[in-house]
Amino acid sequence: MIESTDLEFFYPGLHFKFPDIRCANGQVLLVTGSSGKGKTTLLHLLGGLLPPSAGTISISGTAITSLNSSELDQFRGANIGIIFQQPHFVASLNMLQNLTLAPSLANKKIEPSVATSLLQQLGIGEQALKKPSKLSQGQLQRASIARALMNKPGLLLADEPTSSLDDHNCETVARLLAEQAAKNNAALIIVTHDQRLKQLFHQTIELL
Amino acid sequence: MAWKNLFHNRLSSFLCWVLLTTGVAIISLLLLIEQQLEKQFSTSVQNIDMVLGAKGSPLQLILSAVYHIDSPTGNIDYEEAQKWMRHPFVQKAVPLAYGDSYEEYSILGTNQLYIEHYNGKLSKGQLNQKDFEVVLGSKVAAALKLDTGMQFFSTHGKSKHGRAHKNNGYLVKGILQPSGTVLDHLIVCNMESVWNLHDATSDHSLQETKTEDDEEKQPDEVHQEITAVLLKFNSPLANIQLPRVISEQTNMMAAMPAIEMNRLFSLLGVGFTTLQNIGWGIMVLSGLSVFVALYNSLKERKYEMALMRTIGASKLKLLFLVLTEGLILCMAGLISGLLLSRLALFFFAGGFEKDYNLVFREWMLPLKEELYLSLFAIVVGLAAALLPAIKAWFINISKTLSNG
Repeated sequence: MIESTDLEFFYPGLHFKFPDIRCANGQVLLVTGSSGKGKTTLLHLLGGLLPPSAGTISISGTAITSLNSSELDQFRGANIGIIFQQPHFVASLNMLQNLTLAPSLANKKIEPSVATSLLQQLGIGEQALKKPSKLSQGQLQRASIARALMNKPGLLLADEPTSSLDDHNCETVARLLAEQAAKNNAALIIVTHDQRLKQLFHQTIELL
Repeated sequence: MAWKNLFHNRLSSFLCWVLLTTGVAIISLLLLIEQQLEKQFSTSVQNIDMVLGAKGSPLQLILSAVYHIDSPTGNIDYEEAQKWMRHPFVQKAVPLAYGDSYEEYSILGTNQLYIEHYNGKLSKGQLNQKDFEVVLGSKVAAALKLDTGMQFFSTHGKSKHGRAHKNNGYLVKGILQPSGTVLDHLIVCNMESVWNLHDATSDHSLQETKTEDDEEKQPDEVHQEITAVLLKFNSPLANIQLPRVISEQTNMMAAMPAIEMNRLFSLLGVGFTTLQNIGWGIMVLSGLSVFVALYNSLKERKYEMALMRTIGASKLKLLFLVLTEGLILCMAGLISGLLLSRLALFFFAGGFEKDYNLVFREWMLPLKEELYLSLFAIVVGLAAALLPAIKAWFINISKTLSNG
């Protein structure tokens, strides 16, 4: 469950005013808008990567706008899973280690079996012991979904998760995302300009 | 995780490690050698206040008489020398007569005081009493595989190919325990043996016109000559007075080991300092390469860092991660450098022992200076890692990731 009210953000020479957002657990919310409308900024605000200039955000009852930097890091690690447009992984670790990094950094118990079963569910079980540089974009994007789910977060944020994928992979990844979010009873917010996703998800907010 | 990152960037990590190892090894090796030389030279010079010998280079006299690593300056008249040996300021006087050698080990004619002076203890047999009886230093006995009761013939002078004296063989009476001093490398006999064999060395020029192998004359009592005398004073006054008096009144020379060794070390010191500076230079260079390696890898890993922040790593964790990488590199370089210097010294030690009669002892122990060296290496590592670490601290997650 995530709620935001009166969110504003100032860049030098730029002023974003965002509509209020509400997304309950198990629901999917699509945030669309053409480039330059602050989609990524909104996602970073919701994920606590960027402090808003005004307004409040509350995730599962915690007002993240009032947390300090290290509390926020801790909270984010435990409660928010973020999937970025470009999947980034730690190049020196293999996929399995990359996944288990998430619980270890959030000071949770490390269960490699959870990671392997996630990778299997996402169809990349064979890649578990490979380094990120050996995987394709589509595989990496799926792996980043797996990583976002590692800590069983209450909120999943996805930033253009499908923009670099072809039609076939786009649909698979989108379905996997929704499926996994539903399984974990997490709120899922997808920020995108990808028209293909509009046909799959119906709850939409458009940034103007 | 720090390990894995270092391993991932093998090449630059390897370069840093090699540089650090080299720097540390050079400095530590020099420190060790310097310390060992000083220790060795000072133990041999203990309780020798002055060396009396023929005129020449005082340093040469010391090196030949005390350390046996140079040829002697010449001979002096024993009777003349005895005047000074009986001087009231003199507490102890050990006359040395250089004779022949056997397989490049010098045969030294002296009295019992010499072995006592170096605290030589017998491990086997007994001390030499009669002419042509010898006591072997431990290294000599081991190297030449000589045992008590065995006989050998010496060669003239100190070269291996000198003419052999076939008529008078030396009999091994005793073998000394290792003492860690120059004694280990000597064959000790009484002075009469040397005189008898050579019929007073100064007469050589005369005899060489005859047949040299026919040296069976009785010692010429008037012309007994020795090479040098080691003296210990009982009064500090003698340090000032005797050398002056001796050089004024006699044709002999008095050299003070302490002064000459200081001179030698100040000469060596220039070389040591230069090499040490090179070593420090390499260390700083390695610090720089650690810096460049971490900084470059950080540039590539900017996204990784930002990502780790998004999945819950705190700023402090990333700071520590980068610092740990720098520290691991430095510790690895430090440890392997210290080991390398010991390994190098282990190989050098044999040569030093053979050529200069210097025995390196206790060189495995870390030196106090090496503590400073270690601290310096760690500081270099931390300093080099600090700027990249601070950059990791201030990474702007949102900006970094949205540019990705």
